[in-house]
Amino acid sequence: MKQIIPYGNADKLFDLHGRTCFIVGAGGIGATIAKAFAQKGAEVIIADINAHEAMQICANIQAEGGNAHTYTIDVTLKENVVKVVETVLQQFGKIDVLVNAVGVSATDSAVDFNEKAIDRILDINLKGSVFLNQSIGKVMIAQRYGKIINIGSIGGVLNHTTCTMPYSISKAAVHQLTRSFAGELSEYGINVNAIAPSWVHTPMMENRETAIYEGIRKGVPFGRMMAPHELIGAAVFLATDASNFVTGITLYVDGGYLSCKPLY
Amino acid sequence: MKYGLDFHNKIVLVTGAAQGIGKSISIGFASLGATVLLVDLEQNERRMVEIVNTADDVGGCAELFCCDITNDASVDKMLSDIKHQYGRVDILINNAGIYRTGPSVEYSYENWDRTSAINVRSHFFMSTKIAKHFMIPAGRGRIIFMSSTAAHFGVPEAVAYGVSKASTLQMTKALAAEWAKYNIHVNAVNPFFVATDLIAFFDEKTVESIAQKSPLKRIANPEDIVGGVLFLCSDLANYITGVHLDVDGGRTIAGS
Ligand SMILES: NC(=O)c1ccc[n+]([C@@H]2O[C@H](COP(=O)([O-])OP(=O)(O)OC[C@H]3O[C@@H](n4cnc5c(N)ncnc54)[C@H](O)[C@@H]3O)[C@@H](O)[C@H]2O)c1
Ligand SMILES: NC(=O)c1ccc[n+]([C@@H]2O[C@H](COP(=O)([O-])OP(=O)(O)OC[C@H]3O[C@@H](n4cnc5c(N)ncnc54)[C@H](O)[C@@H]3O)[C@@H](O)[C@H]2O)c1
Repeated sequence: MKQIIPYGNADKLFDLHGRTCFIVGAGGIGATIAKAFAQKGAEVIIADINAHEAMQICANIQAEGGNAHTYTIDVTLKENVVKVVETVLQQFGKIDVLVNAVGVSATDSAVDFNEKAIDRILDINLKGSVFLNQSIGKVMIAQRYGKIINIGSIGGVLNHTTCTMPYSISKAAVHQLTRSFAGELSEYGINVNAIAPSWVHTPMMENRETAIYEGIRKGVPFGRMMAPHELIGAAVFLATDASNFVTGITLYVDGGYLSCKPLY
Repeated sequence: MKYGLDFHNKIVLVTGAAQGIGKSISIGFASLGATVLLVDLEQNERRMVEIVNTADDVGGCAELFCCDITNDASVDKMLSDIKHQYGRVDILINNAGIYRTGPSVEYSYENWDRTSAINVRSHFFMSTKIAKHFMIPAGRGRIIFMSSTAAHFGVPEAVAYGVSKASTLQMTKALAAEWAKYNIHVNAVNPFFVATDLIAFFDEKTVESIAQKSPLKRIANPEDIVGGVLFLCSDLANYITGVHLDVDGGRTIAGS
Protein backbone atom coordinates (compact mmCIF):
# COMPACT_ATOMS: atom_id res chain seq x y z
CA MET A 1 0.00 0.00 0.00
CA LYS A 2 2.65 2.46 1.01
CA GLN A 3 4.30 3.70 -2.12
CA ILE A 4 7.84 4.68 -2.71
CA ILE A 5 7.60 7.91 -4.63
CA PRO A 6 10.31 8.17 -7.22
CA TYR A 7 12.06 11.37 -8.11
CA GLY A 8 10.05 13.71 -10.20
CA ASN A 9 6.64 12.50 -9.14
CA ALA A 10 5.98 14.84 -6.29
CA ASP A 11 2.32 15.45 -7.17
CA LYS A 12 1.59 11.78 -6.34
CA LEU A 13 2.79 12.51 -2.83
CA PHE A 14 -0.41 14.39 -2.01
CA ASP A 15 -2.85 12.09 -3.80
CA LEU A 16 -6.02 10.86 -2.07
CA HIS A 17 -7.68 9.02 -4.95
CA GLY A 18 -9.07 5.69 -3.87
CA ARG A 19 -8.33 6.30 -0.19
CA THR A 20 -11.09 5.34 2.22
CA CYS A 21 -11.30 8.12 4.80
CA PHE A 22 -13.31 7.78 7.99
CA ILE A 23 -14.13 11.21 9.36
CA VAL A 24 -15.69 11.32 12.80
CA GLY A 25 -17.25 14.61 13.84
CA ALA A 26 -19.25 16.37 11.15
CA GLY A 27 -19.00 19.81 12.70
CA GLY A 28 -17.35 22.87 11.20
CA ILE A 29 -13.91 21.31 10.90
CA GLY A 30 -14.84 17.68 10.12
CA ALA A 31 -17.28 18.70 7.40
CA THR A 32 -14.75 21.01 5.75
CA ILE A 33 -12.13 18.27 5.69
CA ALA A 34 -14.65 15.69 4.44
CA LYS A 35 -15.67 17.90 1.52
CA ALA A 36 -12.07 18.58 0.53
CA PHE A 37 -11.05 14.93 0.74
CA ALA A 38 -14.04 13.96 -1.43
CA GLN A 39 -13.05 16.63 -3.95
CA LYS A 40 -9.59 15.11 -4.04
CA GLY A 41 -11.06 11.74 -5.00
CA ALA A 42 -11.29 10.00 -1.63
CA GLU A 43 -14.18 7.79 -0.55
CA VAL A 44 -15.46 9.62 2.51
CA ILE A 45 -17.35 8.10 5.43
CA ILE A 46 -18.74 10.66 7.86
CA ALA A 47 -19.90 9.71 11.35
CA ASP A 48 -21.39 11.90 14.06
CA ILE A 49 -23.76 11.58 16.99
CA ASN A 50 -25.94 14.03 15.15
CA ALA A 51 -27.22 11.91 12.25
CA HIS A 52 -29.03 14.80 10.64
CA GLU A 53 -25.88 16.93 10.45
CA ALA A 54 -23.85 14.10 8.96
CA MET A 55 -26.51 13.32 6.36
CA GLN A 56 -26.71 16.93 5.31
CA ILE A 57 -22.99 17.09 4.65
CA CYS A 58 -23.04 13.76 2.90
CA ALA A 59 -25.82 15.00 0.62
CA ASN A 60 -23.82 18.15 -0.18
CA ILE A 61 -20.79 16.11 -1.13
CA GLN A 62 -22.85 13.75 -3.28
CA ALA A 63 -24.53 16.67 -5.00
CA GLU A 64 -21.08 17.83 -6.07
CA GLY A 65 -20.29 14.40 -7.46
CA GLY A 66 -18.27 13.18 -4.46
CA ASN A 67 -18.30 9.78 -2.88
CA ALA A 68 -19.74 9.97 0.66
CA HIS A 69 -21.56 7.83 3.22
CA THR A 70 -22.75 8.39 6.77
CA TYR A 71 -23.01 6.56 10.07
CA THR A 72 -24.28 7.52 13.47
CA ILE A 73 -21.73 7.10 16.23
CA ASP A 74 -21.38 7.99 19.88
CA VAL A 75 -17.65 8.01 20.58
CA THR A 76 -18.16 7.78 24.34
CA LEU A 77 -19.52 4.22 24.00
CA LYS A 78 -16.74 1.80 23.25
CA GLU A 79 -19.05 -0.98 21.97
CA ASN A 80 -20.72 1.48 19.66
CA VAL A 81 -17.39 2.65 18.25
CA VAL A 82 -16.24 -0.94 17.72
CA LYS A 83 -19.51 -1.83 16.02
CA VAL A 84 -19.51 1.14 13.67
CA VAL A 85 -15.88 0.52 12.73
CA GLU A 86 -16.68 -3.16 12.03
CA THR A 87 -19.61 -2.20 9.83
CA VAL A 88 -17.54 0.34 7.92
CA LEU A 89 -14.81 -2.22 7.40
CA GLN A 90 -17.31 -4.80 6.15
CA GLN A 91 -18.81 -2.38 3.72
CA PHE A 92 -15.64 -0.72 2.38
CA GLY A 93 -13.01 -3.40 2.93
CA LYS A 94 -10.43 -1.02 4.39
CA ILE A 95 -9.92 2.22 6.28
CA ASP A 96 -6.89 4.17 5.08
CA VAL A 97 -7.38 7.37 7.05
CA LEU A 98 -9.07 8.36 10.31
CA VAL A 99 -9.80 12.00 10.99
CA ASN A 100 -10.91 12.38 14.61
CA ALA A 101 -12.69 15.75 14.65
CA VAL A 102 -15.11 15.26 17.53
CA GLY A 103 -14.96 17.68 20.38
CA VAL A 104 -16.98 19.68 22.88
CA SER A 105 -16.20 22.44 25.32
CA ALA A 106 -17.82 24.47 28.09
CA THR A 107 -16.68 27.46 30.07
CA ASP A 108 -16.40 28.05 33.78
CA SER A 109 -13.69 29.06 36.18
CA ALA A 110 -11.22 26.28 36.95
CA VAL A 111 -12.00 26.31 40.67
CA ASP A 112 -15.75 26.07 40.14
CA PHE A 113 -15.99 23.75 37.14
CA ASN A 114 -18.89 21.37 37.61
CA GLU A 115 -17.96 17.70 37.92
CA LYS A 116 -20.59 16.47 35.47
CA ALA A 117 -19.41 19.00 32.91
CA ILE A 118 -15.80 17.87 33.40
CA ASP A 119 -16.81 14.24 32.93
CA ARG A 120 -18.71 15.00 29.75
CA ILE A 121 -15.79 16.86 28.18
CA LEU A 122 -13.25 14.20 29.13
CA ASP A 123 -15.59 11.37 28.04
CA ILE A 124 -16.04 12.84 24.57
CA ASN A 125 -12.69 14.49 23.86
CA LEU A 126 -10.33 12.16 25.69
CA LYS A 127 -11.95 8.74 26.03
CA GLY A 128 -13.76 9.11 22.70
CA SER A 129 -10.39 9.78 21.04
CA VAL A 130 -8.86 6.76 22.77
CA PHE A 131 -11.71 4.49 21.61
CA LEU A 132 -11.38 5.71 18.02
CA ASN A 133 -7.59 5.30 17.97
CA GLN A 134 -7.93 1.83 19.51
CA SER A 135 -10.53 0.43 17.14
CA ILE A 136 -9.19 2.03 13.99
CA GLY A 137 -5.64 1.20 15.13
CA LYS A 138 -6.56 -2.49 15.16
CA VAL A 139 -7.97 -2.29 11.65
CA MET A 140 -4.83 -0.55 10.47
CA ILE A 141 -2.52 -3.06 12.16
CA ALA A 142 -4.25 -5.81 10.17
CA GLN A 143 -3.84 -3.73 7.00
CA ARG A 144 -0.21 -2.86 7.81
CA TYR A 145 -1.10 0.65 6.71
CA GLY A 146 -2.94 3.70 7.90
CA LYS A 147 -2.96 7.37 8.76
CA ILE A 148 -4.60 8.69 11.91
CA ILE A 149 -5.19 12.40 12.39
CA ASN A 150 -6.42 13.64 15.75
CA ILE A 151 -7.58 17.24 16.12
CA GLY A 152 -5.96 18.74 19.20
CA SER A 153 -5.78 22.43 19.99
CA ILE A 154 -3.42 25.21 20.93
CA GLY A 155 -5.54 25.11 24.08
CA GLY A 156 -3.70 21.90 24.92
CA VAL A 157 -0.38 23.74 24.83
CA LEU A 158 -1.01 27.12 26.47
CA ASN A 159 -3.63 28.70 28.65
CA HIS A 160 -4.98 29.85 25.32
CA THR A 161 -8.55 30.61 26.30
CA THR A 162 -9.69 31.35 29.80
CA CYS A 163 -12.24 29.23 31.62
CA THR A 164 -11.79 26.08 29.55
CA MET A 165 -9.72 24.01 31.98
CA PRO A 166 -11.18 20.54 31.22
CA TYR A 167 -11.17 21.21 27.48
CA SER A 168 -7.51 22.21 27.62
CA ILE A 169 -6.67 19.12 29.65
CA SER A 170 -8.49 16.94 27.12
CA LYS A 171 -6.57 18.52 24.24
CA ALA A 172 -3.20 18.07 25.95
CA ALA A 173 -4.31 14.45 26.35
CA VAL A 174 -5.08 14.24 22.62
CA HIS A 175 -1.52 15.36 21.85
CA GLN A 176 -0.13 12.76 24.24
CA LEU A 177 -2.35 9.92 23.07
CA THR A 178 -1.16 10.78 19.57
CA ARG A 179 2.42 10.13 20.73
CA SER A 180 1.43 6.93 22.55
CA PHE A 181 -0.41 5.46 19.56
CA ALA A 182 2.28 6.69 17.14
CA GLY A 183 4.95 4.87 19.13
CA GLU A 184 3.00 1.64 19.34
CA LEU A 185 1.67 1.56 15.78
CA SER A 186 4.81 2.74 13.97
CA GLU A 187 6.10 -0.78 13.38
CA TYR A 188 3.00 -1.53 11.28
CA GLY A 189 3.57 1.37 8.93
CA ILE A 190 0.90 3.49 10.58
CA ASN A 191 1.35 7.23 11.09
CA VAL A 192 -0.48 8.91 13.95
CA ASN A 193 -0.36 12.70 14.14
CA ALA A 194 -2.32 15.60 15.55
CA ILE A 195 -3.29 18.99 14.19
CA ALA A 196 -3.51 21.79 16.75
CA PRO A 197 -5.47 24.77 15.44
CA SER A 198 -5.77 28.09 17.19
CA TRP A 199 -9.06 29.94 16.67
CA VAL A 200 -11.08 28.74 13.72
CA HIS A 201 -13.74 30.99 12.33
CA THR A 202 -16.73 28.65 12.69
CA PRO A 203 -20.33 29.77 13.29
CA MET A 204 -19.63 29.23 17.00
CA MET A 205 -17.14 32.12 16.85
CA GLU A 206 -19.53 34.65 15.30
CA ASN A 207 -21.01 35.65 18.62
CA ARG A 208 -17.80 35.84 20.64
CA GLU A 209 -16.76 39.09 22.28
CA THR A 210 -14.83 41.62 20.26
CA ALA A 211 -12.05 41.26 22.88
CA ILE A 212 -11.13 37.96 21.27
CA TYR A 213 -10.80 39.56 17.86
CA GLU A 214 -8.72 42.39 19.31
CA GLY A 215 -6.47 39.86 21.06
CA ILE A 216 -5.96 37.97 17.82
CA ARG A 217 -5.21 41.12 15.86
CA LYS A 218 -2.47 42.03 18.32
CA GLY A 219 -1.28 38.62 19.48
CA VAL A 220 -1.21 36.49 16.34
CA PRO A 221 1.43 37.35 13.72
CA PHE A 222 -1.07 36.84 10.89
CA GLY A 223 -3.43 39.12 12.78
CA ARG A 224 -6.61 37.26 11.95
CA MET A 225 -8.57 34.13 12.73
CA MET A 226 -8.23 31.26 10.31
CA ALA A 227 -11.02 30.14 8.04
CA PRO A 228 -11.99 26.46 8.39
CA HIS A 229 -10.66 25.73 4.90
CA GLU A 230 -7.19 26.78 6.05
CA LEU A 231 -7.00 23.56 8.07
CA ILE A 232 -7.50 21.37 5.04
CA GLY A 233 -3.91 21.48 3.86
CA ALA A 234 -2.54 20.10 7.12
CA ALA A 235 -5.08 17.26 6.96
CA VAL A 236 -4.17 16.50 3.33
CA PHE A 237 -0.47 16.45 4.20
CA LEU A 238 -0.97 14.10 7.15
CA ALA A 239 -3.39 11.84 5.24
CA THR A 240 -1.12 11.25 2.25
CA ASP A 241 2.25 9.77 1.34
CA ALA A 242 3.76 13.26 1.67
CA SER A 243 4.02 12.60 5.41
CA ASN A 244 5.15 8.97 5.41
CA PHE A 245 8.18 9.78 7.57
CA VAL A 246 6.21 11.97 9.99
CA THR A 247 4.68 10.39 13.07
CA GLY A 248 3.71 11.43 16.59
CA ILE A 249 3.81 15.14 15.85
CA THR A 250 1.39 17.89 16.71
CA LEU A 251 1.24 20.26 13.77
CA TYR A 252 0.35 23.78 14.83
CA VAL A 253 -1.88 25.67 12.44
CA ASP A 254 -1.96 28.93 14.29
CA GLY A 255 -0.85 31.84 12.13
CA GLY A 256 2.40 32.10 14.08
CA TYR A 257 0.70 32.45 17.47
CA LEU A 258 3.00 30.04 19.32
CA SER A 259 6.15 31.46 17.80
CA CYS A 260 6.13 34.74 19.71
CA LYS A 261 4.94 36.78 22.66
CA PRO A 262 4.26 40.25 21.31
CA LEU A 263 5.85 42.95 23.44
CA TYR A 264 3.26 45.60 22.66
CA MET B 1 -9.56 26.82 -3.85
CA LYS B 2 -7.21 24.19 -5.19
CA TYR B 3 -5.83 21.77 -2.67
CA GLY B 4 -3.20 20.40 -4.98
CA LEU B 5 0.33 21.59 -5.38
CA ASP B 6 1.53 23.63 -8.23
CA PHE B 7 4.76 25.59 -8.39
CA HIS B 8 4.53 26.74 -12.00
CA ASN B 9 5.81 30.30 -12.25
CA LYS B 10 7.49 30.01 -8.86
CA ILE B 11 11.17 30.78 -8.44
CA VAL B 12 12.68 28.61 -5.74
CA LEU B 13 16.21 29.13 -4.42
CA VAL B 14 17.77 26.10 -2.72
CA THR B 15 21.15 26.34 -0.98
CA GLY B 16 23.28 23.22 -0.66
CA ALA B 17 21.40 21.89 -3.67
CA ALA B 18 24.12 19.74 -5.23
CA GLN B 19 23.45 16.60 -3.26
CA GLY B 20 21.58 14.98 -0.40
CA ILE B 21 18.44 16.63 0.90
CA GLY B 22 18.88 19.79 -1.18
CA LYS B 23 19.02 17.77 -4.37
CA SER B 24 15.82 15.86 -3.55
CA ILE B 25 13.99 19.05 -2.65
CA SER B 26 15.13 20.72 -5.87
CA ILE B 27 13.87 17.86 -8.02
CA GLY B 28 10.63 17.71 -6.04
CA PHE B 29 9.93 21.38 -6.79
CA ALA B 30 10.94 21.00 -10.42
CA SER B 31 8.52 18.10 -10.86
CA LEU B 32 5.72 20.45 -9.83
CA GLY B 33 6.71 22.99 -12.44
CA ALA B 34 9.02 25.29 -10.48
CA THR B 35 12.08 27.11 -11.70
CA VAL B 36 14.76 26.08 -9.21
CA LEU B 37 17.91 28.08 -8.58
CA LEU B 38 20.51 25.62 -7.37
CA VAL B 39 23.16 27.13 -5.10
CA ASP B 40 26.24 25.22 -4.00
CA LEU B 41 30.04 25.37 -3.96
CA GLU B 42 31.97 25.54 -7.22
CA GLN B 43 33.51 22.12 -6.58
CA ASN B 44 30.01 20.66 -6.97
CA GLU B 45 29.26 22.23 -10.33
CA ARG B 46 29.22 18.91 -12.20
CA ARG B 47 26.63 17.50 -9.81
CA MET B 48 24.46 20.56 -10.27
CA VAL B 49 24.64 20.18 -14.05
CA GLU B 50 23.11 16.73 -13.64
CA ILE B 51 20.30 18.15 -11.52
CA VAL B 52 19.62 20.81 -14.14
CA ASN B 53 19.11 17.97 -16.64
CA THR B 54 16.87 16.00 -14.27
CA ALA B 55 14.80 19.10 -13.51
CA ASP B 56 14.17 19.43 -17.22
CA ASP B 57 13.19 15.76 -17.54
CA VAL B 58 10.60 16.04 -14.77
CA GLY B 59 8.86 19.06 -16.23
CA GLY B 60 10.44 21.97 -14.43
CA CYS B 61 13.62 23.86 -14.92
CA ALA B 62 16.74 24.67 -12.96
CA GLU B 63 19.76 26.91 -13.18
CA LEU B 64 22.93 26.55 -11.17
CA PHE B 65 24.84 29.18 -9.24
CA CYS B 66 28.29 28.41 -7.88
CA CYS B 67 28.45 30.38 -4.68
CA ASP B 68 29.94 29.94 -1.25
CA ILE B 69 27.09 31.32 0.84
CA THR B 70 29.50 32.48 3.55
CA ASN B 71 31.10 34.85 1.06
CA ASP B 72 29.01 38.02 1.32
CA ALA B 73 30.26 39.59 -1.88
CA SER B 74 29.63 36.46 -3.86
CA VAL B 75 26.08 36.18 -2.44
CA ASP B 76 25.39 39.83 -3.34
CA LYS B 77 26.64 39.26 -6.86
CA MET B 78 24.46 36.15 -7.23
CA LEU B 79 21.35 37.92 -5.93
CA SER B 80 21.92 40.81 -8.27
CA ASP B 81 22.22 38.38 -11.20
CA ILE B 82 19.01 36.70 -10.06
CA LYS B 83 17.25 40.03 -9.79
CA HIS B 84 18.34 40.90 -13.27
CA GLN B 85 17.39 37.58 -14.78
CA TYR B 86 14.26 36.56 -12.85
CA GLY B 87 13.18 39.66 -10.98
CA ARG B 88 12.08 37.68 -7.94
CA VAL B 89 12.53 34.78 -5.55
CA ASP B 90 9.27 33.32 -4.25
CA ILE B 91 10.61 30.53 -2.07
CA LEU B 92 13.93 30.20 -0.21
CA ILE B 93 15.19 26.90 1.17
CA ASN B 94 18.08 27.50 3.61
CA ASN B 95 19.51 24.00 3.41
CA ALA B 96 23.32 24.11 3.11
CA GLY B 97 24.99 22.81 6.22
CA ILE B 98 27.99 21.12 7.73
CA TYR B 99 28.41 18.75 10.64
CA ARG B 100 31.82 18.69 12.38
CA THR B 101 32.30 16.43 15.35
CA GLY B 102 34.87 16.18 18.07
CA PRO B 103 35.09 16.01 21.86
CA SER B 104 34.19 19.44 23.20
CA VAL B 105 37.48 19.85 25.07
CA GLU B 106 39.38 19.41 21.80
CA TYR B 107 36.99 21.37 19.58
CA SER B 108 38.79 23.99 17.47
CA TYR B 109 37.91 27.65 16.94
CA GLU B 110 37.98 26.90 13.25
CA ASN B 111 35.29 24.19 13.46
CA TRP B 112 33.11 26.33 15.71
CA ASP B 113 33.39 29.38 13.48
CA ARG B 114 32.88 27.53 10.22
CA THR B 115 29.81 25.72 11.57
CA SER B 116 28.21 28.90 12.75
CA ALA B 117 29.22 30.80 9.60
CA ILE B 118 27.51 28.29 7.29
CA ASN B 119 24.66 26.95 9.43
CA VAL B 120 23.61 30.23 11.05
CA ARG B 121 25.13 33.48 9.77
CA SER B 122 24.81 32.76 6.06
CA HIS B 123 21.18 31.62 6.42
CA PHE B 124 20.25 34.74 8.36
CA PHE B 125 21.70 37.10 5.78
CA MET B 126 20.45 35.08 2.82
CA SER B 127 16.96 35.36 4.31
CA THR B 128 17.18 39.07 5.10
CA LYS B 129 18.54 39.95 1.67
CA ILE B 130 15.94 37.89 -0.16
CA ALA B 131 13.18 39.26 2.05
CA LYS B 132 14.33 42.83 1.53
CA HIS B 133 14.88 42.72 -2.21
CA PHE B 134 12.24 40.24 -3.33
CA MET B 135 9.66 39.06 -0.81
CA ILE B 136 8.75 42.26 1.06
CA PRO B 137 8.24 44.22 -2.17
CA ALA B 138 6.16 41.32 -3.53
CA GLY B 139 4.09 41.11 -0.34
CA ARG B 140 4.58 37.36 -0.03
CA GLY B 141 7.16 34.64 0.30
CA ARG B 142 8.04 31.32 1.87
CA ILE B 143 11.24 30.57 3.73
CA ILE B 144 12.28 27.17 5.06
CA PHE B 145 15.17 26.53 7.43
CA MET B 146 16.54 23.01 7.23
CA SER B 147 17.11 22.63 10.93
CA SER B 148 17.41 19.27 12.67
CA THR B 149 16.03 17.27 15.57
CA ALA B 150 19.48 18.12 16.99
CA ALA B 151 17.87 21.48 17.86
CA HIS B 152 15.79 19.72 20.54
CA PHE B 153 18.43 17.59 22.26
CA GLY B 154 21.94 17.84 23.52
CA VAL B 155 24.29 16.63 20.80
CA PRO B 156 27.38 15.25 22.51
CA GLU B 157 30.60 15.77 20.55
CA ALA B 158 28.88 18.09 18.10
CA VAL B 159 27.89 21.01 20.29
CA ALA B 160 28.54 23.57 17.55
CA TYR B 161 26.12 21.72 15.27
CA GLY B 162 23.41 21.47 17.95
CA VAL B 163 23.78 25.15 18.76
CA SER B 164 23.56 26.05 15.08
CA LYS B 165 20.35 24.07 14.64
CA ALA B 166 18.77 25.49 17.81
CA SER B 167 19.68 28.90 16.36
CA THR B 168 17.80 28.21 13.17
CA LEU B 169 14.68 27.42 15.18
CA GLN B 170 15.01 30.76 16.96
CA MET B 171 15.47 32.49 13.61
CA THR B 172 12.42 30.67 12.27
CA LYS B 173 10.21 31.92 15.08
CA ALA B 174 11.60 35.44 15.21
CA LEU B 175 11.47 36.03 11.45
CA ALA B 176 8.01 34.44 11.24
CA ALA B 177 6.76 36.93 13.81
CA GLU B 178 8.62 39.87 12.26
CA TRP B 179 7.61 39.23 8.65
CA ALA B 180 4.06 37.91 9.01
CA LYS B 181 2.87 41.42 8.17
CA TYR B 182 4.46 41.02 4.74
CA ASN B 183 2.78 37.64 4.29
CA ILE B 184 6.13 35.90 4.43
CA HIS B 185 5.87 32.46 6.01
CA VAL B 186 8.95 31.18 7.81
CA ASN B 187 9.04 27.56 8.95
CA ALA B 188 11.61 24.92 9.82
CA VAL B 189 11.91 21.27 8.90
CA ASN B 190 13.70 18.96 11.33
CA PRO B 191 15.03 15.71 9.94
CA PHE B 192 16.67 13.16 12.20
CA PHE B 193 19.29 10.97 10.47
CA VAL B 194 19.14 11.09 6.69
CA ALA B 195 21.30 8.89 4.47
CA THR B 196 23.54 11.54 2.89
CA ASP B 197 27.26 12.38 2.83
CA LEU B 198 26.74 14.53 5.93
CA ILE B 199 26.60 11.44 8.12
CA ALA B 200 28.78 9.18 5.95
CA PHE B 201 31.48 9.10 8.65
CA PHE B 202 29.26 6.97 10.93
CA ASP B 203 29.97 3.26 10.54
CA GLU B 204 27.24 0.90 9.41
CA LYS B 205 26.71 -0.62 12.84
CA THR B 206 26.11 2.75 14.46
CA VAL B 207 23.66 3.76 11.75
CA GLU B 208 21.79 0.47 12.17
CA SER B 209 21.46 0.97 15.91
CA ILE B 210 20.27 4.54 15.32
CA ALA B 211 17.65 3.18 12.92
CA GLN B 212 16.46 0.53 15.38
CA LYS B 213 15.83 3.15 18.07
CA SER B 214 13.60 5.04 15.72
CA PRO B 215 9.87 4.17 15.75
CA LEU B 216 9.78 3.70 11.96
CA LYS B 217 12.87 1.47 12.30
CA ARG B 218 14.96 3.09 9.62
CA ILE B 219 16.79 6.32 8.97
CA ALA B 220 15.37 8.63 6.33
CA ASN B 221 16.27 8.85 2.67
CA PRO B 222 16.55 12.36 1.26
CA GLU B 223 13.24 11.76 -0.57
CA ASP B 224 11.44 11.35 2.75
CA ILE B 225 12.05 15.01 3.57
CA VAL B 226 10.57 16.43 0.37
CA GLY B 227 6.83 16.17 1.15
CA GLY B 228 7.11 18.27 4.29
CA VAL B 229 9.03 21.01 2.50
CA LEU B 230 6.62 21.13 -0.44
CA PHE B 231 3.68 21.22 1.96
CA LEU B 232 5.02 24.18 3.94
CA CYS B 233 5.78 26.10 0.72
CA SER B 234 2.36 25.50 -0.81
CA ASP B 235 -1.14 26.89 -0.45
CA LEU B 236 -1.84 23.94 1.83
CA ALA B 237 0.01 25.81 4.58
CA ASN B 238 -1.52 29.28 4.25
CA TYR B 239 -2.07 29.72 7.99
CA ILE B 240 1.13 28.02 9.13
CA THR B 241 4.14 30.05 10.14
CA GLY B 242 6.81 29.87 12.83
CA VAL B 243 6.51 26.10 13.23
CA HIS B 244 9.07 23.36 13.06
CA LEU B 245 8.00 20.17 11.35
CA ASP B 246 9.78 17.08 12.66
CA VAL B 247 10.26 14.70 9.72
CA ASP B 248 12.06 12.21 11.86
CA GLY B 249 10.27 8.87 11.73
CA GLY B 250 8.95 9.52 15.23
CA ARG B 251 12.38 9.74 16.88
CA THR B 252 11.63 12.95 18.77
CA ILE B 253 8.56 11.55 20.51
CA ALA B 254 10.11 8.20 21.37
CA GLY B 255 12.00 7.45 24.56
CA SER B 256 15.69 6.67 24.51
N1 LIG C 1 -13.43 25.63 16.18
C1 LIG C 1 -12.28 25.95 16.76
O1 LIG C 1 -11.92 27.12 16.94
C2 LIG C 1 -11.33 24.86 17.20
C3 LIG C 1 -10.04 25.21 17.59
C4 LIG C 1 -9.15 24.21 18.00
C5 LIG C 1 -9.57 22.89 17.99
N2 LIG C 1 -10.83 22.56 17.61
C6 LIG C 1 -11.20 21.13 17.67
O2 LIG C 1 -11.58 20.65 16.40
C7 LIG C 1 -12.53 19.60 16.53
C8 LIG C 1 -13.75 19.91 15.69
O3 LIG C 1 -14.27 21.15 16.14
P1 LIG C 1 -15.43 21.95 15.37
O4 LIG C 1 -15.09 23.37 15.40
O5 LIG C 1 -15.70 21.28 14.06
O6 LIG C 1 -16.63 21.71 16.40
P2 LIG C 1 -18.17 21.44 16.12
O7 LIG C 1 -18.86 21.68 17.41
O8 LIG C 1 -18.61 22.19 14.92
O9 LIG C 1 -18.20 19.87 15.78
C9 LIG C 1 -18.04 18.86 16.73
C10 LIG C 1 -18.88 17.67 16.30
O10 LIG C 1 -18.70 16.61 17.24
C11 LIG C 1 -19.95 15.95 17.35
N3 LIG C 1 -20.03 15.19 18.60
C12 LIG C 1 -20.17 15.67 19.85
N4 LIG C 1 -20.24 14.65 20.73
C13 LIG C 1 -20.12 13.51 20.04
C14 LIG C 1 -20.13 12.14 20.39
N5 LIG C 1 -20.26 11.73 21.66
N6 LIG C 1 -19.96 11.22 19.41
C15 LIG C 1 -19.84 11.60 18.13
N7 LIG C 1 -19.84 12.90 17.73
C16 LIG C 1 -20.00 13.83 18.68
C17 LIG C 1 -20.96 17.07 17.31
O11 LIG C 1 -22.25 16.57 16.95
C18 LIG C 1 -20.36 17.99 16.25
O12 LIG C 1 -20.88 17.70 14.96
C19 LIG C 1 -12.82 19.49 18.01
O13 LIG C 1 -12.00 18.47 18.56
C20 LIG C 1 -12.41 20.83 18.55
O14 LIG C 1 -12.03 20.74 19.90
C21 LIG C 1 -11.72 23.51 17.22
N1 LIG D 1 21.79 14.13 6.80
C1 LIG D 1 21.26 14.23 8.00
O1 LIG D 1 21.24 13.27 8.78
C2 LIG D 1 20.63 15.51 8.44
C3 LIG D 1 19.83 15.48 9.60
C4 LIG D 1 19.24 16.67 10.04
C5 LIG D 1 19.45 17.84 9.34
N2 LIG D 1 20.24 17.85 8.23
C6 LIG D 1 20.47 19.14 7.56
O2 LIG D 1 20.03 19.08 6.23
C7 LIG D 1 20.82 19.99 5.44
C8 LIG D 1 21.33 19.26 4.20
O3 LIG D 1 22.14 18.21 4.63
P1 LIG D 1 22.53 16.94 3.76
O4 LIG D 1 22.40 15.78 4.67
O5 LIG D 1 21.84 16.95 2.48
O6 LIG D 1 24.11 17.23 3.63
P2 LIG D 1 25.11 17.12 2.39
O7 LIG D 1 26.46 17.23 2.98
O8 LIG D 1 24.78 15.92 1.57
O9 LIG D 1 24.75 18.41 1.55
C9 LIG D 1 25.04 19.70 2.02
C10 LIG D 1 25.33 20.58 0.83
O10 LIG D 1 25.59 21.89 1.31
C11 LIG D 1 26.66 22.42 0.54
N3 LIG D 1 27.38 23.49 1.22
C12 LIG D 1 28.12 23.38 2.35
N4 LIG D 1 28.67 24.57 2.65
C13 LIG D 1 28.28 25.43 1.69
C14 LIG D 1 28.56 26.81 1.45
N5 LIG D 1 29.35 27.51 2.26
N6 LIG D 1 27.99 27.39 0.38
C15 LIG D 1 27.19 26.68 -0.44
N7 LIG D 1 26.91 25.38 -0.27
C16 LIG D 1 27.45 24.76 0.78
C17 LIG D 1 27.57 21.23 0.33
O11 LIG D 1 28.47 21.43 -0.75
C18 LIG D 1 26.57 20.10 0.06
O12 LIG D 1 26.27 19.98 -1.30
C19 LIG D 1 21.92 20.50 6.35
O13 LIG D 1 21.56 21.77 6.84
C20 LIG D 1 21.93 19.50 7.48
O14 LIG D 1 22.41 20.05 8.68
C21 LIG D 1 20.81 16.71 7.76
